[in-house]
Amino acid sequence: MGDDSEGAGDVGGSLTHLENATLVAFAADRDSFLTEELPESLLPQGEEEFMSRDLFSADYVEFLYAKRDVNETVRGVNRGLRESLLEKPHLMEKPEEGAHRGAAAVWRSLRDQLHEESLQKIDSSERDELLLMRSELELRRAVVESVAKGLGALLKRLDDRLAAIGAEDEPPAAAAKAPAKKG
Amino acid sequence: MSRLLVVLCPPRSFSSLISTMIGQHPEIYGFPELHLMIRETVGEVMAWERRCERYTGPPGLLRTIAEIDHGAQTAETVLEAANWIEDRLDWNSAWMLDYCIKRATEVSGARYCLEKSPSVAFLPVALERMRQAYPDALYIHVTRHPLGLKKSLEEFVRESHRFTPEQKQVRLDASMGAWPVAQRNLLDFCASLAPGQYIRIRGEDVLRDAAATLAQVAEWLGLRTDAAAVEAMLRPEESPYATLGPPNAAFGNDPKFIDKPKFRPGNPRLRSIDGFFESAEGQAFDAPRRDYLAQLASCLGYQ
Repeated sequence: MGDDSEGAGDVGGSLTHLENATLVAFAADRDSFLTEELPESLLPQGEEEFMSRDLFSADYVEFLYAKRDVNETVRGVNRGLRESLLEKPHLMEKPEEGAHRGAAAVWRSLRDQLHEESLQKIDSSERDELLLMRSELELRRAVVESVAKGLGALLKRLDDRLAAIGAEDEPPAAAAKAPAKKG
Repeated sequence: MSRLLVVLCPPRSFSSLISTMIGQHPEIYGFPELHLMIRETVGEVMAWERRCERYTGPPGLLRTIAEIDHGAQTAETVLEAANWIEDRLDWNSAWMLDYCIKRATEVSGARYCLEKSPSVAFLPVALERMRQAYPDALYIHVTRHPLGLKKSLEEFVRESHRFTPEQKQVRLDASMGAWPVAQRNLLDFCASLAPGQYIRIRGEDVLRDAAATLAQVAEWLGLRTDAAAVEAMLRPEESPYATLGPPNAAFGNDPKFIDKPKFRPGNPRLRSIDGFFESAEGQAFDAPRRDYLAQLASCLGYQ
């Protein structure tokens, strides 16, 4: 079904279609509000006022609670899986996810060691916060260890390759040091 | 420093397309979704983003800092941007937005910087925070037909890989409620603005006749309305934020828009709201809800 309203430019809440000339005249006076005091907010203040505003707003608050409950359940179920995924970044669904998590974990670990942020928090935080911090630090350690393991494998491969090349040809540095043979 | 221009609309309301189009005006710098004003401080914004599994921060903000401070959006410049933001977690969110506006003005010479973060439509506190922090800001309230938004929202939820079936179901059950809540918030918000401080446009009108509608917007802002300026707004794909960003900040705008950023004029079919209430799905709504939604829709020019 088509729509018969013409309101392309509905300025200041009016639903009248404005000719450009009217718009120019309106725009000329547009900034007069800058000299006026900021009016009171007409938005609801707090959850109760929001809920009592209209039926859909009340429904929306219920939706937010339902969403929160489901999210918390999902987070609880996923926590173990996510931790093990951090130890095995190659199992993550998307390479970007591994890159994001890995870069963030390594980077925050470096920052921490430079600025001692966690150290300060450890000395001044409550038990709940410390438990959260332990979980966070364990995750970071898993990532850093995974990166170190990957780098260790690369270095081993590099050494193996160098050893193989060395058996075939003499490295250029060694050749340069060798005394020249006299005729 | 240029003036803040904010596009107000809930998600799934052509916001990426329309904001990017307006942001392509030669005298406007269009940001992607910065997600800054949703919380009071940058630290709170980052905590919220990490909760949503965006570990390095809001992709739109990262891309913006990379672009305006390093001149390019690469994985390295995004990491630099993330590092820079991480050092400013104690900043007020408005200071960070001020910084973006200041740098964008220096880089582009724009008279306005355009920001849109659709999630604020559901957060009265965030809307009020923005009004207090930027009393001289101008606002463009973009609307979409309630049934169009509902359909788009449902498609988005169904196609999302982020949600479990349970998370999807909760969102699908509430899909009709998103429109009246967000629009009521935005109407209440606009009612506390000065009459000259905002304009309201229907997204469908932009799709039907973008040149005329966007020229009116430019005129209202006191900007150029010559053919070159209007044609620039018809090429959203030329925005530095209309393409896929580097892997550590890929989006910052709607993924569907990033996939196909060119403007394609159209004449969206607007379903009848009364017709919806006669359908099996619409019958689930009681009479007071039907009346309320129909009145609100009518107030915004939808039947």
